[in-house]
Formats: sequence, structure tokens, C-alpha cells
Amino acid sequence: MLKITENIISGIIDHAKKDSPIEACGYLAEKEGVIIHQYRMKNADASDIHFSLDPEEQFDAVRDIRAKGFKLAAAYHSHPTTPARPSKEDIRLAYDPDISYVIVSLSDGSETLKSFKIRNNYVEPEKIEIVQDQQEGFRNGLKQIAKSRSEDENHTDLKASISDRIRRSQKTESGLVRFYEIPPTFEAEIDELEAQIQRFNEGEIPARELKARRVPFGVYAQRTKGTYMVRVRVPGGCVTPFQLNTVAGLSDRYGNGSIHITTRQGLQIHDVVLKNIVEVIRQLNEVGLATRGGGGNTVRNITASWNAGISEDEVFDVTPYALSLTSRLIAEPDSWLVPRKYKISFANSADDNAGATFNDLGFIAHVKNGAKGFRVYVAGGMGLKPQVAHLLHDFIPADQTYMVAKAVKQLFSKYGNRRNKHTARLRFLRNKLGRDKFVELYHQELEELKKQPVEPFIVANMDNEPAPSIPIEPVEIRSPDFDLWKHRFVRKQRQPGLYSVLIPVLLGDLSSEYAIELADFLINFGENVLRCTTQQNLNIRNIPGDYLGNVYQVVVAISDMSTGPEFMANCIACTGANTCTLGICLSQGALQAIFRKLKKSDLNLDEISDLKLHISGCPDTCGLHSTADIGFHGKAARKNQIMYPAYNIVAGSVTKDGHSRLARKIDMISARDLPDFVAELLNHYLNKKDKYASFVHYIDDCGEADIRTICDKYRDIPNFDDDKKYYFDWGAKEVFSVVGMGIGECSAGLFDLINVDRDLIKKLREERKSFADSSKIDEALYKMTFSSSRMLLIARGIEAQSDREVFNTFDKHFIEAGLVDKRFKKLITVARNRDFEQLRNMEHQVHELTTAMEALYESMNDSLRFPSEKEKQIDESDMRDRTAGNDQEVFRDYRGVACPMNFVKVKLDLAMMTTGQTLKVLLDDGEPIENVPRSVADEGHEIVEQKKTDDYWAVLIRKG
Amino acid sequence: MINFTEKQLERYSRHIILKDVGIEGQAKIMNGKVLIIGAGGLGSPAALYLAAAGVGTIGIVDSDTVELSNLQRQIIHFTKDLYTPKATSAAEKMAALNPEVTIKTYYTFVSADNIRGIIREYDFVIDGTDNFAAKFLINDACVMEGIPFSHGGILRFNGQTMTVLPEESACLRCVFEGPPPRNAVPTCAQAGVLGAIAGLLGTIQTSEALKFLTGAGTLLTDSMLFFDILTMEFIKHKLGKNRECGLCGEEPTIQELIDEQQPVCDLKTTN
Repeated sequence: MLKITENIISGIIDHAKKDSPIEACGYLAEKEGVIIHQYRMKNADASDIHFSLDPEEQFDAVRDIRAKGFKLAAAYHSHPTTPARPSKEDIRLAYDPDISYVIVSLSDGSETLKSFKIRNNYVEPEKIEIVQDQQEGFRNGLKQIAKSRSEDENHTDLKASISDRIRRSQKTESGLVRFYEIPPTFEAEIDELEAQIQRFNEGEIPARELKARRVPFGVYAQRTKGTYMVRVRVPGGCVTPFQLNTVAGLSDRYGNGSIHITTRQGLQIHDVVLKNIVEVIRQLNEVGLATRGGGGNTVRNITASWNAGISEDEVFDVTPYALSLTSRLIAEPDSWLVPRKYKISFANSADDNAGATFNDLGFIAHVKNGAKGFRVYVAGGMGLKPQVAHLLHDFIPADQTYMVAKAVKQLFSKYGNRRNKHTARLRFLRNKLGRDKFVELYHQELEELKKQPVEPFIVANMDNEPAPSIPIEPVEIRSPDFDLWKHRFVRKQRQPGLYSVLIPVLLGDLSSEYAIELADFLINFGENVLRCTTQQNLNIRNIPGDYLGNVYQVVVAISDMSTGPEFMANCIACTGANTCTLGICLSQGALQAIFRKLKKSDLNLDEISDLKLHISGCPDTCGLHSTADIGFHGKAARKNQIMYPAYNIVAGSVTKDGHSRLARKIDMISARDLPDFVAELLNHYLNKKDKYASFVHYIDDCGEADIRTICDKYRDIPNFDDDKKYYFDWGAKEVFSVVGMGIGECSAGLFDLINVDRDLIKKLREERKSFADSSKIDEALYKMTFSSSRMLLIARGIEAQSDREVFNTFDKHFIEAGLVDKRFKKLITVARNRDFEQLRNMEHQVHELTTAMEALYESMNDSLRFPSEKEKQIDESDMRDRTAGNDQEVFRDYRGVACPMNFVKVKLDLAMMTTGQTLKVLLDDGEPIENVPRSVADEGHEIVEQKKTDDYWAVLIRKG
Repeated sequence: MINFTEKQLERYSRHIILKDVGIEGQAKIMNGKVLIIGAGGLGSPAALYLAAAGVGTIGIVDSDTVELSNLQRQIIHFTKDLYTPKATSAAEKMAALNPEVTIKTYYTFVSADNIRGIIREYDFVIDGTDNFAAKFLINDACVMEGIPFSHGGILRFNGQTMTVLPEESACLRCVFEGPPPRNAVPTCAQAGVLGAIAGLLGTIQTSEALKFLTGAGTLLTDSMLFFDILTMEFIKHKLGKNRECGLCGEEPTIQELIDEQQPVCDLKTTN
């Protein structure tokens, strides 16, 4: 806690402003715990990015402090254009763990003052308390100083009440609970994204380059230009009430005012404009929610059975495994550079209600000889060519979960097809290699991993229990509606006296207002009370029976569907042509038309609560039609050369350990007749239901024939002139058309980035011919050399942060590695030194280099490997990869190693790594943690994070 | 390049934790080859510290045997070593200190005939000889072979040293045309020497060798360091390459090595 007077704060801000744009700096002295004196000093560096205290003034200050009986309490400095956060240099140079480091930022036109303690390179924000006479008045002043970057001052009443509520819930302990760990590097990555957006706004980079950056951040462009969707990582669908509140509040403030629940248990905020993206991501990060990996070729949200931990039939609770695996994988840089998305799922029993048998990697809980573990499936997936996953391990002990996931990731990274995104998913790799080769290579990876020291895979316990005290009174309700609702949506948990409640959310969309209302209510029941489900609903848990009345009141107010049958809740429709550029049909409109039809019918839908009806707007399986009991996917059909919207009908999918299969195509139906078709089919089924154990049995027996019979009735559709309704899709105002379909956003990949440079080089080569002005020529030659150096770095997984780094890494990974002729070494040096005169003399070499790089690009294979190294990759031991030349995180356990040997070993490890690679070491408490990180930082490496676990520390170091 | 054992990590830990040495620097030391000419006052500390540092190959040249008067300053030799060859005596101690280093012994005087063949195998040479003829021979041979070396000399309470990077920096002949006239300078036997300054200068030379191997810091090139232990004054004189240097100047006159006839043990003590 930094206690400080108003005058001093004004003084610091005044100093910062007067010295701006140079960083202002000085000391603050305290008496009786309160800062009462400011020593302004000269910045001996006179720089806008760093400072050193003038030594003479520093000595004078120290003398004065002693003479007056004060105590040195803090060093302050200003950041004229950057946020009030300690820079790497600030952290490195902070030598006194006892004093506070106060930073005042003038960026964004407002003044923000923050205080930090910096110990062993570890930054801890410190609270600031204003003291003395004008305390109250000053609080207001500080509020202004720390004013939020709110851009929409005119958002008033509702916003105020929402943020009040957010604040209210923040006050409870709830704000601190987070289900997974976000790597400390995430903040820097957000800064980087912010810089990219700025560069894009200033016209420095094309939209395509920005896309390649933002998509892996879970930021997708929407059909309406300039608006974006932000996808939030919610592993296992676990979200605290406070987090839900935050997501909803952010959508209210920056988005479309509602939250969207995805079929992978994630959350999305829609309609965010570009300038607010970073703010949204930062605020999510503050409450423990990451967006990284929301899209692109990354480790995606890890799903888990919605009823894990509470189901009476489960083998064990798999949620903690999904959460821990998330924390581990998202901390690894190569999780953002897999060839295509990598989806993982955990099911708590053989019933596989998480779809583990349809993921890239699926874990199904299993107990063998009393030990917890998993049956493991691999290479399944949805998409255009869906596939059931194959059994990879009959059983692995639970503590091997991480190893298996990592081995598969490495296998995928090494051999996956990066060039063609349509055949890039893991299942295509398995199909290409064949089962035996795939499994063999997988075991190679696994064995290599087992040889390495690996941080133990620790899984935290998740308690499902009632909140210790519930601050609200139970409401008792007696009514048939309440009983019906209980019958439909309330389930007994395996914990006696506790219940879970399904909240159906139509199409996964819940308004922010309702979400916040729900969150506010749920806070009464603890933290572990909420799940997003793969059916795009919410499920609340750990509710004591006495409180079901309270839940009922809240739920029926926010969910219309809670008064209907459960069947509706289990229907899924993808977004369809509404917003998806790939969409053909308006799948959501179709589902709503089906609902309308069913509501008017007298079918007893409560008999088919478990039936899964899924609709996709196109053959892509975003609407999960392939895993439905009865599924539909949109297509364009023709009658007399005029197109009309229609659906293929698929049915008979099974999702169960060892028995999973995809739905098979049976027939087709026009969009117009779809609702009637569904009603008739359900009617057939309900009449025969008693004879069959499940819908699948019905389909396999006579359902398929029933479907064809119904379709025959609707086979003939009227001509356009006779009944135009058939030619309009559900909810469409215009005649059906497929014009406007585009290329999927998901494809933003490495090739987009490479093409940015290739295109630029081509353009410059062309323009160069007409340049006469020498400065223009210089710039063109420099940029050509730069882009040539940069274009294929990404193929090596290198994302250079500066021009210098581009040239250095190019030299190392391409010239030194023998991929590019050594004669270009001099050119690279010349360009790196920005020696334009010399560069002009070497112009022919610049052109030769561009040609050489284009040739190298052409020779690259699907896995981004070059001919000269194709075979090597398979034969060579993985050891080399791990220790040099890639960005794998290295892990070492130096517990029990005394000083300075621990530091010596760390240096050895770092010496064998490449710049930017990270090393995680475990160190003992005491002398080791006090010394090693500081020494490592002194040598120019970055201490990314250090945190204590039990009696030891885990320190994450990035090689400098 | 780096394949350290646990024991090596521990043995060299105080080097490795130095920022300017580190793992890479220590690896360079362990791959390094240094020749010490003369296992006497200067060669003694040089041999011990180089061995201790783990320099991969250390050569030691000396044709003398240990005499009682040597023991006042030549600390690698013990009383029990009297009358054994100095090279043998030194090699024993070095091996005992660090069995990992390879030691090569040469029981010979360096001469115009053999010196180039000997130094050619090394990365760096430490001149620990006791006479001007040898010092100029070493200078000439190293410049001709392009091998960096450290020149050094002691007398009474004084010492001087400089490091020569052939082609790049001033050599001994850039400063002094050649050896002083016979008997112009007193010998050790005549003038005496404080034993400890042998250690002082020998360790400075060794530091230069280690700096050269690791690339750390700035070498003592184009300058001569003089010290006087009585006043404790250390003076570093800036020098430069001499265009008229007979060896490395623009028109060199010395084309081949000659053995100067001056078997005495000292040097000029002032500039």
C-alpha cells in the first residue's frame, strides 16, 4: 500500500507534463508511512524511452532524506506515451525490493498513476491510498486520473447500472476465481496486437496481415464491414458468475448487447468495432479469460462433459483435466502455430456426451485396476469431410494426459499439411500416412517426450458442493408449471441434496441484460455453479433443493424456452447465411420455423427430450448435423434452372465409446417443406417409439424408409411462378441466391503472411523501374531485402519483432542453415546497418535475393519444409529440435541444486536455446529464487514469470 | 560445441556465471590452445592459472632445470623439484591441478629454427622468457605466423607488458627497434627482482590469454602497461603501429628469423 498526499501526486504529474516528451524521474520520501516529499531530478539520459537519475541530484536527495529524518519510499518516473506499466528495462533496473516504483502515464491524453513493488523481477501492483486533509476531494481527483478509457461518455444509465453491478460482484471474492491460467506472455501479445491494429489504421499493413494476427486471437471479421466477433476461451464450459457478468457487460458496452454460446462451450461477443477489440481482450484477460486460440490454426477451446463432476453415471470428473491441459497448452508458443486447428475433448463416461470420439483428440474417462485414466481417440473431426476418431490408446493413466496431447501436437506440427487448409486437419494426416505409420510416428514423439524432463501434470480438485452460506432466503413455489419445469430441466446431482438446472438458450444467444441478471443471482451460490454446454445452453449446478424456487423465478424470466419441452433446448442451428460467408441456407430461420410448427402440433415432445436435431446452413458441419439423431445441411437445389433452398437429410449418428458413427445421408427436402417433414417424421417415431431402444434403432430399422416415404410426398415442388414461397429461404426478404458467398475467415494462415511479403516484393520490383529519386530507390531496395528476409521466417515459426531481428534470424536460419547462398551474407549485413549507399551498389544482389527466395518458396513442400531437409526431419532425433532452432519450451527441474550451480545450469540451457525460446525452471525457495532470476535478467534474458508452488518456484525465462 | 559434464559445470561454475564468459566462453577456453614460453617467474602463475581455467591444450617450453635461486619466485616448482627439468616439474603440477587439460612439454630453447613450428599449433602465446633475444624472436615469429601473444618482462620492482595482435596492433619492434646493446641493461642476477611481481605480471598475461580466448573485454593492444610496485603506480602508455617498423611496417626489412646473441635476463624498464 502506497500512502501518498494529493500534493505529491499533483507534483509528479506536473513534473511528468513539464518534462514531456522526455521521461521525468525522481524520488519520493516518506515520514510515518506517508509520502510527503518529492525530489524532482534530471533525466540524465534525456530520453523519451528510458531514464537515469542524475547521480549528483540523487546523492543530494539521499543526504537530504537522511538529514530530515525521512525515508526513501519510492522512485517515480513518467511514461509520456506508453501505459503505466513497468517496462522490461524498468523491471531489470529495479534493484531495491523495498521501495515502490511509481509510474505516471500521459498516454491517451489522460494521466494514470500506478505504483508497483518489483522483487526478483516480479512485478506486483500496489494499491495507492490518498491521505491527509483533502482526502475526499482527492479521491475524486484520482478517479479522474485513473479514468477508464471509456470512449462513449454518452452511454449512461443502463451502462452505469451494469458497471455498478460488475463492481458489486467484484467486491465479493468471486472476482478472483479463474478456472485456467493465462500465460504471462499474453499481455505482451495483446500489446503487439494493439500495435498491429494501429499500424493497420495508419495504412502501414494490409488487412490481410492484420487478419493473420487477429484470427489466432479469436477475433473474426463479420459480414458487416468493420465489425468483429471476439471468441472467448471457456474450457469445459466453466465460467464463474463474475466472468459471465464481465463478458455480458463487455458485449453491452462494446458489442451487440448479447452473448453467444458456441457448440464448443465457448462464449462470443459480436459486433465489436476494431478500435475496441484490444480493450475487450484486455478486460477479459483481467478476469481470467483468454481469447488467444479462439480461431486460426491453434489449440482451440478444450471441451468437457457438461455434467462432469455431478453425474451419477460418470467414471470420474474430467473437468479438472480439461482445465489443467488448457493452462499447459496455451502457455506453449507452438500451440499457436499448428498446421490447422487442434480440438480436444474430455468425456466423463462411455456415453461420450462431449463428443470425444469426434475430436482431433478425445479422452474418455476410464478406470483400470482402480487407477484413473482415459481411453484415447485421435483424428476425428467435423468440417466438410467429417470423420469418427480412431482409438489410439486403450488406456493411459490420467497423469499422462498432457504427454499424449503434446505428442499429438508435435506429430501434427511436424508432419501436418500446412499448405492446403482443406486437407490440413489431423485426420487428413492420418489418412495420408495410414494407420500404422501415423501410430508409429506418434509413438516416436511420445517416447522422445518421455525422455525429457517434464513438469508434472497437476490437476486441481474441483469441489461440487453447496456454497457455505447463501445470503438469500429460499422461495417456495407450489404449482404444476414449477413441477413440470423441474421434471424437464432439473436433475439430481450425485451430491445429495444438490441439483443441476438446464437453462435453454435459443440458438445460443442470451442478452447481456439477462446474462447479468443470471450472474448476479448465481453469485449467491458460489463460483463453481455454471457451465456452457455443447448444445449451446447454460447449465447451473450445485443448487440446494430449497432454492429451486428461486432458480425457477430467475430462469423463466430470462429463458422463454424454459416453459417448453427440453427437446427444443437440444436443437442446434449454425449461424447460417445470416452472418457466415460460407452459408447457403438460413439455418436459424429454418429451426425457428420448425419450432413454430412443432408448437402448433400436438406431438408430445417430452417423450423425445434427448433427441438431437441439428441443422447446418451448408455441408460444413458447424451445425453438427453429422452427429445428430436427425440432421440437415443446406444446399442449393434447382427447379427449371431456378435455384431454391433445400436440405439434405442425414440420420442415424451414434456417439458412444467404441460405437460412434456419423449420420448418413438419406434424402433431401426443400427448406419450405422442412418443418412439415420434421413434424411428420417425429409423429412416425412417437408412434413406434416403444418398439425401439433409441432413435438410431428406429432409423436403422424402419426410420430410413419412413423418411423416404415422407420425402416422396414433398418431392415435387411448385414452379417459381406458381408458388414463390419455395424460392425464398426462411426469414429471407429476397429470392434465394448463393451470390455473396466468400472464403472462410478461418483460413488466415501462414501463407497469407508469406504472401504479404511476396506481393510487396513483386510490387517493388515493378516500381523500381520507374524510380529515379535516390531516396525512393534506397527505400525500395531496403524493403525488398527486408521482405525477402522476412517472407519465409514464419515457415520456421519465427515471428521477428524488429527489422534487426528479421535480418539476424534470416541470417541464422536461412543463410547459416545453408538454405540460402552464403554470398548474401554481406547484403544482409549492409541492409541491417541501413547502409543505403552500399545497398545501391549491391542492387543486382537484392534482385538475386528476391529471385532466390521466390525459388525457395516454390520448392517448399506442404509441411513448409525445403527439399534439402525433407528426409532429415523424419530421421533426426527430436533432441536437436528441442534444444535448438525451434520455439519449444524447455523444462528443467533444478530443485535441490544449490547456488550457483543452478544458475550455471540455467546458463547452459540458455546457451543451447535460440533467442525467443522459453525455458521453465523449478527452483528452490530462498537463495536460489533470490539470485537466479536476477542474474539471468542481468544477462539480457527476460523473466516472464515466476510463481510459487508449495515450497518451490517455477520461473519462466525467455532467452534474450 | 558444448558438452559439459556435471563436474565440469561445477569446476568452472565461477567462470560460467560471469556474464562475459558464460557457457560459450568456457567452451572456448576448453577448446583453446595456449603456449607458455619459459617456465620461470612469469610462466609459473601463467601455467597454473591456465590449467585451472581448463584451457584445452597448454604447451610449455623450457630447457632449464630447477635451481635453488628460482624458487624465490617461480612458484610452480617446489624444493623437491630441484634439478628436474622445469617443463616436467610444471607439467606435473598442472596435471595435478586439472587432469582435464592436455599438456605438451618442449625441453628446448626456442630458436629461429624451431619456434615457428612450435607456435603454429597454438592460438595464443605467453612470453615468459628472461632475455631480449628470445623476446624479439617470439615477437618476430608470432607476427610472421599471425599468432597473438602477450609480451612481458620484470626487473627489480618493475614490470611491463603488452599484447600483440599481428597485423592489427603494434608489435614489440614498433616500439623498440631491437634488443638493447649488450650490457646496457642490468640482468636479474645483477639487479634482482621482487618475487611477487612475477606473479603480478604473469597473471596479467594470463588474463590477456583468457580474454583473447573468450573474446571478453578489450585487450592490452597498442599500449604498454608499466608498473612500479614501490610507488604502486600503474601507467598505461598509448602506442600505435609504427609505419617504419622493420617487421610489420610499410617496408619491412626483417624477412626471416635470426637468433640474437644475448643470453641475459632483463629488459629496459622505462620507455
